[in-house]
Amino acid sequence: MPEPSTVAKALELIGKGAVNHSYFFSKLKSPEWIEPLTEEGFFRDPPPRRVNGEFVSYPVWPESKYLARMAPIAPTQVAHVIGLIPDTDNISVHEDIARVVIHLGARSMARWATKEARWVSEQPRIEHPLDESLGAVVERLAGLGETGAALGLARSLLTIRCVVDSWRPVSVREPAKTYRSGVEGSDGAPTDEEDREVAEMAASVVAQLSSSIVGRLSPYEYRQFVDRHLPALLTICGTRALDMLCDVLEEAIESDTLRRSERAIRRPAIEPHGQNRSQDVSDALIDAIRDASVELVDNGVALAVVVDSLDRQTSPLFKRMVLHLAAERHREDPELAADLAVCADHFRDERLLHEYSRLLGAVFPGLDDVGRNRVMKWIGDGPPFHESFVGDDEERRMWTIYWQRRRLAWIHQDLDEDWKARYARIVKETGEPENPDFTSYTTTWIGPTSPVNAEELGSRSVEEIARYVQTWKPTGDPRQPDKEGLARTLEAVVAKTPAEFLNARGLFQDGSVRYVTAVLAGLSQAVRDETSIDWTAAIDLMLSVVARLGGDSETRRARQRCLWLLWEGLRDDLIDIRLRKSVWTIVDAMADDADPTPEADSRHEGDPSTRSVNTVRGTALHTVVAYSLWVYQSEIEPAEARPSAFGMDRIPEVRTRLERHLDPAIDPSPTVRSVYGEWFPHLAMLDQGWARQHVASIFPDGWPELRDAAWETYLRRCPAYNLPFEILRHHYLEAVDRMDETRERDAPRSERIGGVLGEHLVILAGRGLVSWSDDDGLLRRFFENAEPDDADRAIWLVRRDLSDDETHVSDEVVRRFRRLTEGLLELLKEHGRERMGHLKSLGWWIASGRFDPEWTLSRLARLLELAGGQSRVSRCWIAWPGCRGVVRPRLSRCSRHG
Amino acid sequence: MEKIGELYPEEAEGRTSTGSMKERVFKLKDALDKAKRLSAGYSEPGGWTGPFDRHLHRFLEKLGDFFDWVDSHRPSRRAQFQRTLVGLDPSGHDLPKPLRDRRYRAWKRMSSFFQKTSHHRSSPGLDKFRERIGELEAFLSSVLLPTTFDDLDAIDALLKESGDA
Repeated sequence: MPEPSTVAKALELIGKGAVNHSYFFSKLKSPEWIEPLTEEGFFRDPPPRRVNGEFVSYPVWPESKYLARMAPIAPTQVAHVIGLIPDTDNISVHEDIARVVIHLGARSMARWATKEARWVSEQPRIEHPLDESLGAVVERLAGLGETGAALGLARSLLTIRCVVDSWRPVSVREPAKTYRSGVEGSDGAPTDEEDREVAEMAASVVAQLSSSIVGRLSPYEYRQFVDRHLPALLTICGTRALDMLCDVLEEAIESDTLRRSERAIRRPAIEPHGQNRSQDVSDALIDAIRDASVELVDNGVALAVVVDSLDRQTSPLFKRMVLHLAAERHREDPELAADLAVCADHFRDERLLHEYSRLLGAVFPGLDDVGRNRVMKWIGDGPPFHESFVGDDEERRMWTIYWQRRRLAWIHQDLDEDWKARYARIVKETGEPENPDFTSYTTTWIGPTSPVNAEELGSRSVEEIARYVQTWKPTGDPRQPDKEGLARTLEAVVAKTPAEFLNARGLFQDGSVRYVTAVLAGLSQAVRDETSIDWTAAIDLMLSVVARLGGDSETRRARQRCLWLLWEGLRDDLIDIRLRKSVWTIVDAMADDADPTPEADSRHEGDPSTRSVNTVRGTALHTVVAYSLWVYQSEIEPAEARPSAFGMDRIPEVRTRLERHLDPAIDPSPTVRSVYGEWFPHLAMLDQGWARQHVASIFPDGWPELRDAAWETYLRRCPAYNLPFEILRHHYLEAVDRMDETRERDAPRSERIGGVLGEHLVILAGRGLVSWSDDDGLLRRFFENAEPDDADRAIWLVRRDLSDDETHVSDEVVRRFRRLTEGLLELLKEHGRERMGHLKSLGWWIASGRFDPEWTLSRLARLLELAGGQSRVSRCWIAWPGCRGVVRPRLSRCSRHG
Repeated sequence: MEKIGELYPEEAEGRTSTGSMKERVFKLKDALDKAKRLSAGYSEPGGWTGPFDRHLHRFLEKLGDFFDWVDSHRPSRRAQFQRTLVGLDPSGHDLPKPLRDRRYRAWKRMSSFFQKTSHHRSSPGLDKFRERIGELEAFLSSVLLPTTFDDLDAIDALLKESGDA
């Protein structure tokens, strides 16, 4: 045992801080320290769990880790100390103690397990790996003969219960006397009217509620626990283990207090089956009971004994497990299995139908004549008709036939000749029964499907294909092939052989719009696959679509397909400029389409920019810009490619079209307006004067919804170009000033417009287009107004490039960022530490290695001083390449221990 | 007035303070914590759910709110001291009670010495004063300077010396 002076010295050292304390206990290898440390008051103060908002953490307790290591060496000493540890909610400590007690004697372990089971029962969740440690204790206890404690601890872990999903209605009164409707009555009791109101509210709320089953362990951990630890428990405890599991399940069923038709525990089949779609904790428990009961029988326990264990519970689920077990192991006790099969209650109970059908199918061939005759008489008698049945005689007959068909199907191979003939007649009249062993059967399919595959369709001539698609008719069954499926197959065939379809386009032009759309989609795919197509023929086909009137969704899809195809051709300059007039005819016609309607815009489904490519008018405006760039490319020689060389005068049709949609009286759609924002840099390139002249119309202050649609799309979709910035500087300023009005605190960091605005400004600062000392204070105002995350995101982006050794950054750019850094530090000094959240990444920026060491060191020091030792700022030191000499090793040495 | 009350207790008609308010508040808090621990009407995280009427329920909730406020805004000197030390420890972890008590006792001893000295209730010699200053410096260094390998090396050496390495 260590000398008192050594202990005192140790206390002095470990009293310096948590790192020393933790290190000391992690290094102890001898149990000799247990006694003196206990005398000093250790082992009585486990750290509680920590709750931080919605997060919970469980601090490590060095003392319990030490005890866990010492338990195999000095179990008696450790057992004494374990008794001193007070109750704790720290799962990490429970896990250590579980590892300790496994080395103790049976009685000590059982006492602890009983106490631990009580604690577990009070916990909503048991986190992994505590479940594993407790599972090991359960097995050890059972092995030592402490079966009661073992089963108790296992039960506390395996308990599951039903909970009501979603929300709890606060307006529904619970104890009547505490109900208040706002104005308190003299005795606080509800009036009749309030009672009625509450009852109605409760009924409507309950109708929307559903329940589910939850356990202390996750479904995965639950199954792992059952698989790993139950076999040992079953071997040692036998039917007591099975009884424990049955009790847990019965209690869970009882806890489903909503008593709706849709119960929380739904189990279509007891055996493993595709219909058992749920994989929650109740499924794991049912599987465990099912397998345990079979295993007990296989291990020599009488079938009747196991059946009795299951049958003791009242829920029909257990009766189904009895029937399942009898079906699986009927040869162990044929008489009992036959009794269960030839039981009128079982035969009539629809809730038992699946397991009963399997049992009857299994034992029917071996039944004696009495049993067989009894079953056949029940089938012959037909179903019991409730007095509320309202059908006529024919309906009654058909109902009986279907009912009998289902039951005969279970045993049709073992029927006598008369019944076989009768069953054949029923099947002839009504068809083969589908899934006769289920009262309801869930099935899924994937659609749409095609009546022919692409290979088969592609093997035919275009004429044959055209005839086939125009004449083929679907059955109407949603699970069967339909026109959409066929259209998709046609699209795939067209994509492979576009020329053949374009040559025979007349065969499709006048047919179903759906198949014209498929041909256009196939052509688009071919273009994407870099297969050349005859654009004259393609445009001819598109003109036929333009000529089609109608505002139905089919026609709209066809129009949109046209525009997408045209877009592909214009973007990649695949279309001959001599087709300019025809191309414009198509684009111009589509640009007046009614889609998007004001109603569709008002639904705000997705951002305007995304909506624009899914609407006809929006896509048409995108194509107008693509058309302009196509003409620009074809008319401007590379040598004269400069902004002033081209203008809207060269494309007057585009000018008219663009200006038309800038009039909110004609086109009030934010979806369409977003297109101008997305292409603003290109429009400025095509005609700078036009862009300057129309900038106020594109981002109109008087129409905030239109302005924001264009402005936000511009910021999100366009990099920070110089020329657009010069034109839009005033709008950048206004956007910075508007940041107070348009707070987006709930929006994810990546989606916040403030962050994107900051990125633009910081990039522009690097280019020298804005600076901290500008008269209008644009940059400074941004950092003053911005939400912390937005300001930080702006810095983070540039820091990423600055830290990347591969990126070339000129000295001039470095100097500009130095000036910006000085400005940001000045801002921090002015506003104090509360602005620090805005500039979490500033340290990383300074430490990027781009600035000279002396400047870096002094600014990092100032930043640390201003930040008041905030850890995120402090850590940036480690990133600074300059730290690699002297500072870094020392810092990392400290940081190893926090 | 307090001083006058102490000098003339009879005239002050019982208004004389016979114990600090803070002490009484903490006693009440201990009583509430005990009730939470032992009462069947309280559970975590449900709170007070016993068969109380609405008025008592509200009162108990408000009492809890009050002591939460006391904990965060008017902690005891000891709690304030402990919180500061945990805040200064880079690991963010607390030390076990014996070590916390040890540090608090050391702090109290120093605090008491410097208070007495500065209020002229005692006049230690220069050596004694220097010794205490040294203690204070050592204490502050232990909580303000980051842990280094030197400390860990010292622990290793100590364990080796005691035969546990």
